[in-house]
Amino acid sequence: MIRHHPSQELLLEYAAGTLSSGMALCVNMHLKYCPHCAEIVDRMTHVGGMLMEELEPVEVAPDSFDALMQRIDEEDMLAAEVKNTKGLDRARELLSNWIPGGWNVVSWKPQWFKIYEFLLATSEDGRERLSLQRINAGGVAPVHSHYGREVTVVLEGGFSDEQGVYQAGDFIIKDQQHKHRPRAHENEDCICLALLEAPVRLTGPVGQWIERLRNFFSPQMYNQTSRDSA
Amino acid sequence: MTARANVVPLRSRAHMETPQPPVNGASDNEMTPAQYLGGLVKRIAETRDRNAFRELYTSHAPKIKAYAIKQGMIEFADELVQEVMINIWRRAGQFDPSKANASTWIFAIARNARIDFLRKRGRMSAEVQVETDYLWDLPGGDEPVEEHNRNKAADAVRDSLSILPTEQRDVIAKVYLEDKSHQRVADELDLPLGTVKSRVRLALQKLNAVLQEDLI
Ligand SMILES: [Zn+2]
Repeated sequence: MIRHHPSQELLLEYAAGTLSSGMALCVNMHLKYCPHCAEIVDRMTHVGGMLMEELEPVEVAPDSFDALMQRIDEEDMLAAEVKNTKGLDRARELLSNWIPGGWNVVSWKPQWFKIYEFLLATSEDGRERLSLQRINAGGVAPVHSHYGREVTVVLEGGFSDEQGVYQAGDFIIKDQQHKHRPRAHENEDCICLALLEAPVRLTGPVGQWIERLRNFFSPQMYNQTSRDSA
Repeated sequence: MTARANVVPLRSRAHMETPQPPVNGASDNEMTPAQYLGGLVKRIAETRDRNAFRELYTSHAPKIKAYAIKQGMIEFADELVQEVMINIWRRAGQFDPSKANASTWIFAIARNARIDFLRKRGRMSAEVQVETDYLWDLPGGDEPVEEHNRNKAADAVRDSLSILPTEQRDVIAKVYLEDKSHQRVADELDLPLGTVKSRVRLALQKLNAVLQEDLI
């Protein structure tokens, strides 16, 4: 049972097409698991369709249709169908664009005890990071908070922290105010899609020490104040 | 550019704008504009019917161009129109009227073409190499909803949109049609961010009754 959904505002921005690619992926991943939000997005998209129908038309060049048909005749082909499967299969299929073999065969990079990461993409400035995270059964991440937003979509298994319990499909946003310590369920590994809008800030005693080292080595990256989420 | 000039001109009844179908009453044997438009898409898909395509082009190219201009893509507006139309031609076979409304589908194609255009030109910095259509699904992927129910939901959405107060409608239209984050809408309308957020929230609450109705 999915209990954590993206906000209505976020779904609206998704339907309108104004989210970043990384955020859109996270929202879409949730939609693969959540028929409820998928239906809302359908209806919101419908609102977009109606608003577009209401726009004051702007004239196009009279010969533009013929030019279009000429182009179509030269390069006509059918678009590849984007297949639609359900739930976990859909999630796997969406990710197969990065990891054709699925998340079971990627080379996970150890991060901490029982914690692994597989990097999918980073932004050019390095401040946005899209990755898969794995916490092995019973594993506990170090206490941390964030400089920016962290979006997590649970793909498989589940975890809990001070604020709640999360299952496959749940969509979770944490920001600067949230200090947390994710803990995987005892009996299965937890795999999540994570979008980090700015680097994580470690807050425990050991974390603070690591944090100081980080600042020492790359002050430009970790000292900036977080980007406004808007 | 003043804020006023940016306000989307909205007409009261959206569905009168679609191609000129029989009548608007939608009794049992008359087509609604959406059904008529869907019929055009179907003809394009099944027989590569160029007359149907020309008709759809004539009715919708000017709207897509208007959308592109609203999005601030003035110099690329014609290019975007061509992209969207090519996608409609190519994807017509994937359109299923039992799963989606034709104008919703066209909007989604236009939205995705716009995103694609911006992504290819690298305006969005954090780019991931994956097709836009994977990140933003086109409507109609899931199980067919009974057409009657889909039409009912569509009507309800349209009706609730038409009774939104103008100020709420304007912010919603800006979010949809002008690629604006809430922050940028606030800047342009010269309103505090909180006001914009609360207008969006109020509009969503009103739409919500409809957006959430009878959900799974
Ligand atoms: Zn949901």
